[in-house]
Amino acid sequence: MKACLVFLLAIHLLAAMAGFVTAYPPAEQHRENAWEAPGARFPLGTDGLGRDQWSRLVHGARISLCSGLAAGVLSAGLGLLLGGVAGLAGGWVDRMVTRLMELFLALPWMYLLLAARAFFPLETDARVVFTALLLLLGAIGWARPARLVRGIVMSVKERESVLAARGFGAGQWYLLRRHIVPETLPALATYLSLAIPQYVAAEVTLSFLGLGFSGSTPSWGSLVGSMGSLDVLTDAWWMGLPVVVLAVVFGCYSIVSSALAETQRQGR
Amino acid sequence: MEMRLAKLWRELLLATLILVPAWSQSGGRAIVVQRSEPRGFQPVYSVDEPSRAVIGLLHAPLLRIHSETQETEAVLAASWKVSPDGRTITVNLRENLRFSDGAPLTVADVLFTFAVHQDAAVASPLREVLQVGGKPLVVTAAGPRRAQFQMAEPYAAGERLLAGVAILPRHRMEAAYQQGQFRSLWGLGAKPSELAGAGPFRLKLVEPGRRMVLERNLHYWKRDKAGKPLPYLDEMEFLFTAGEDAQVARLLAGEGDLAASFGGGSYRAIESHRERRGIRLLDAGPSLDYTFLLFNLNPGGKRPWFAQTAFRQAVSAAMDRESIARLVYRGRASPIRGPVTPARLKWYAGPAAPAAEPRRLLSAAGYRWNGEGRLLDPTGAPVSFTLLVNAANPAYTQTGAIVEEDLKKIGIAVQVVPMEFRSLVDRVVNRKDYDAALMALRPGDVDPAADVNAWVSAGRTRLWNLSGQALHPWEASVDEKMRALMATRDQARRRRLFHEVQRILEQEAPMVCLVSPNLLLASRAGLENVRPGTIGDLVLWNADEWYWRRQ
Repeated sequence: MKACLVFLLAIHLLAAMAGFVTAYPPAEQHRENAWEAPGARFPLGTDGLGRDQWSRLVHGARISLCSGLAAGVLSAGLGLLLGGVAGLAGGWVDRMVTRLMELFLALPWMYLLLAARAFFPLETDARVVFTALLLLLGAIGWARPARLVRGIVMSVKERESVLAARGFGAGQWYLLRRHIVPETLPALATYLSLAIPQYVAAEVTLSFLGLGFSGSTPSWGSLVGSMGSLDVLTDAWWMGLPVVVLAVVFGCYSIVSSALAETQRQGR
Repeated sequence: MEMRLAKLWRELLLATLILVPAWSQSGGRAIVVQRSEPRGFQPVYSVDEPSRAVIGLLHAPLLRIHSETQETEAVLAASWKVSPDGRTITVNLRENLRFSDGAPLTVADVLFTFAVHQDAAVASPLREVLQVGGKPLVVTAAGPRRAQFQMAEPYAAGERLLAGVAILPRHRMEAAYQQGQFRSLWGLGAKPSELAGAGPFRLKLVEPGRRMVLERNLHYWKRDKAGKPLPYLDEMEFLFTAGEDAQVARLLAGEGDLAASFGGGSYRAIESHRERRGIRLLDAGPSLDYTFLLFNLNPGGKRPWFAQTAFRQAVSAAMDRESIARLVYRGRASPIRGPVTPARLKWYAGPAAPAAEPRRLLSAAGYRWNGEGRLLDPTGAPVSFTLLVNAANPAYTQTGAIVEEDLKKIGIAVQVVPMEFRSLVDRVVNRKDYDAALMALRPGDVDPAADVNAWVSAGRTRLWNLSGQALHPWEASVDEKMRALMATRDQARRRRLFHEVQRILEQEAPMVCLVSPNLLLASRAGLENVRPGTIGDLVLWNADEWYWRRQ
């Protein structure tokens, strides 16, 4: 668990300092050095256009991890808000939010993203389009954490301690701050540790399909996509390193989420 | 007695010399690994490449363009003649022609075939192609084995119109045609016994999504020089895979005998295994295909720079075509600067004149650069545009990245927009809502007639300007030369005019041609006579002559 946290922290730090830890810009083409194996000049080798794979991996991490984090936090935030309101208010508000949750859970997000992508004018900067798409992904992903939060809130508000506090004249805001929100946080942390890699995977999928960033702006998805041919798999093994990093990141997030869930169970 | 024995021995020896090679060439099955499955067996509607590949083996035309010599040759026709005024083509059919079901192929089948293609209700994709001067060919029977094709006006490539039009079996198709059910005839679910054609093979078995087996057509008309009936092979099998990698993997695994139309990367992957796997690899050089950067020159286009020849020339001069060929196609493509590739033999005008330095061209046209090196147009606006590329094809996204980098060197900001292919085509052809796009074209023939639609103002596929008008003097000049070229049968004059048109297009660069991917082919060692061509089906065009070399 600790090793995983350290690794995740390290990779997020690397992504944040991408400009300082790389020798070349990720889009710079060294055409005479195409398909060069890892060496002193290019630590992770080069791709078919002679671009530094280390630089592309680290700059790609910035896009993929940040987008995962942003979308995850957004969906968790919206989920906390709407799930909390539904659970606390009950009645018609709860029924309306619950129906909305069901609708959003049934949405085919991939098709929605493809449709949204087509709406943007061509001139729109790729970063803007992609950020908008990930925010959209985060925004439509609120239903799952909202359902989680609603359940917790409905259970917490019937506890004797909460009923007693209410009997002593505690207001809604006090109950929310002291009793309800603290109960939802461990569950939300577990949700986030599961959701972030899912959103990273969504970026990878979009870019793998060629609908994310263009080739010159790297992301982990475009790096994974570039190794999708037989000759690269057989001749340029170093092009597979992003997949290894991606698998380790996903594995670490999975271990962290399991550990958080376990802690939560023990706390009950 | 001794003399008679010696004579008998000599004759036996002679017969053995003739017959043994012919016998040794017969039999066996060749398995072709393909990336997609045919959509049907209907020769009128099936225009997609996989369908055409199979249909080309099941059916036969009157004439065809020989894929190696690029000249017209007789198939079901014994001979043909063009009248001195260039308006009438007379075709004599071979004797004793039969469809694969044994029914005779007569001039009635020829008339039926062209009547079907020209029937507006059938909506054949060839209907417009089979028109000259806006009027359909008039097809009549001029004898029991003779058909006449009359054109409204002289047409230089008249006989090439007949090439590739498969002759349909009237006895099998007329009832469906009369009942208005022609379109539903011979889909992918058709039973092999329902089909009949005059090609070298007939359908034996279809396993949708997996494979298709053709068997020798016992009534095929063609024989080899020794008089042995063709095809040599007993069967042809098509094995369908999902994508290029799977195609190559199945070939390397020994599940197939032949694969083609793959890229330079796959060529490299096969190359490293070819000796161990007994595979013969062939790079036949440039094909007819060419990739190009297309500028939107339609009236109302958003980028005023594109209308300036100097700007387009500068973009063309800035392109590092050698890098595209070397890096994107792994050296299996040829840099080109015009839309006619060297594969078009006598029609190719030769390499274009060296381009001027791009910065000098732009300076002379009033452009300048700011402190950050960004190009500014004469009004002071920064020059930038979007470039649409097909998201599903890595070759295009990589080419887009090279174009982006090359133009960045002269201060032009290009934003590459990967897009689903159908949306891209819709933007370019229907909505005309784009700046520039990376595209590829393959002319259907080497003759200039194949380029008319793509280059003249009235052409439906003149992609850079689909307004139907000549907006610039050079467009009017192209129209005029192409019109003159199509009206004369003087081949030397046609060639000269076509070379002039090529020079205009290279000079004006409405589409900046980049590379022509080479034709690549891999076949199992021992499968003989596999020779890639340039027109029609580039590999299967002579499948009736393939044979297995006996060990």
